[in-house]
Amino acid sequence: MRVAAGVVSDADSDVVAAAVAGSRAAFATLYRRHAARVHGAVLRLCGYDPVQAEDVTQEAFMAAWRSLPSFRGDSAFATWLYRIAVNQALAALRTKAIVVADGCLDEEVPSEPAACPAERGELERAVAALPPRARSVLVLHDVEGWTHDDIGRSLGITAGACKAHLHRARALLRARLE
Amino acid sequence: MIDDSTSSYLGLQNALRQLARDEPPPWALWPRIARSLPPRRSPWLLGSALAPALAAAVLVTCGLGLLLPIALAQAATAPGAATLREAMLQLDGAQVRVAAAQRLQPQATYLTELRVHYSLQRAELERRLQGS
Repeated sequence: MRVAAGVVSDADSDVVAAAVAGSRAAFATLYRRHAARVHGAVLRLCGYDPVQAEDVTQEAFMAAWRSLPSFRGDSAFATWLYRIAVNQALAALRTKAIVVADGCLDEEVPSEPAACPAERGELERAVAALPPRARSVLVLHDVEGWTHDDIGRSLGITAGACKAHLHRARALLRARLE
Repeated sequence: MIDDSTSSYLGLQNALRQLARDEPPPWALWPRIARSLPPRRSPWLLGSALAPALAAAVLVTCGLGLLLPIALAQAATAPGAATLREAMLQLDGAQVRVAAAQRLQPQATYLTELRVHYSLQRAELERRLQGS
């Protein structure tokens, strides 16, 4: 993960303490600081669907508000919030993923990888077109920088299964970009 | 063992990493979130040194809520105005304590009901004092 982990206190600690005490103004400050990062990750996981991404971002901040009293500062607030948002996004995608995951595994994978110098817009559309489970794994690993172990824990699959999903997701992505 | 780290994929991997950018949500999202945040009891209040004071205030208030009607009933049957005035002083003290407790727990409905109850009792005492 690219977010710094294992930080006991960070720049947010005073604001977090005020938010834990029930200050909505403090929570608004935390929102201003972190909404763009959270929303960015959620938007990618939701396949660039702006409506779903807004709903998930809202749910993530509501969940964070509810859970703030249990935030112990074992990690940086940004890391904690980001994990909540990713879990909310994965939960939102789960229904779709269950339906599509098996199909994804059966989908024919191109044997020869192709070079894909893609434009950003083209790449975003190709990522968005991936099945939800494949997109989740690809975004978390290749964009967000998560390890297979972290992804596996979040998705409830083994690291090996995660690698298999990633392999197929990359192949599907290359095929869509050809 | 699956190996995707082929040179043909490196360009795409670099392009994918470029997607990891912040995306500010629409301006209207925060008002939506703010409206949907449930109120939270203040843990600082319950976990701090104020907690015993709050508990004492609530206990005193509840105790007065139980005892005052008896005192007032006795006062109402007593013949002298001095007894009524003493009951009025006790009631004034109780109202001050309830108001203080309500400032600490503004959403406690039973405190609101207690204030209303005391107001009615005070009005009754005043009526009897005027008639005595």
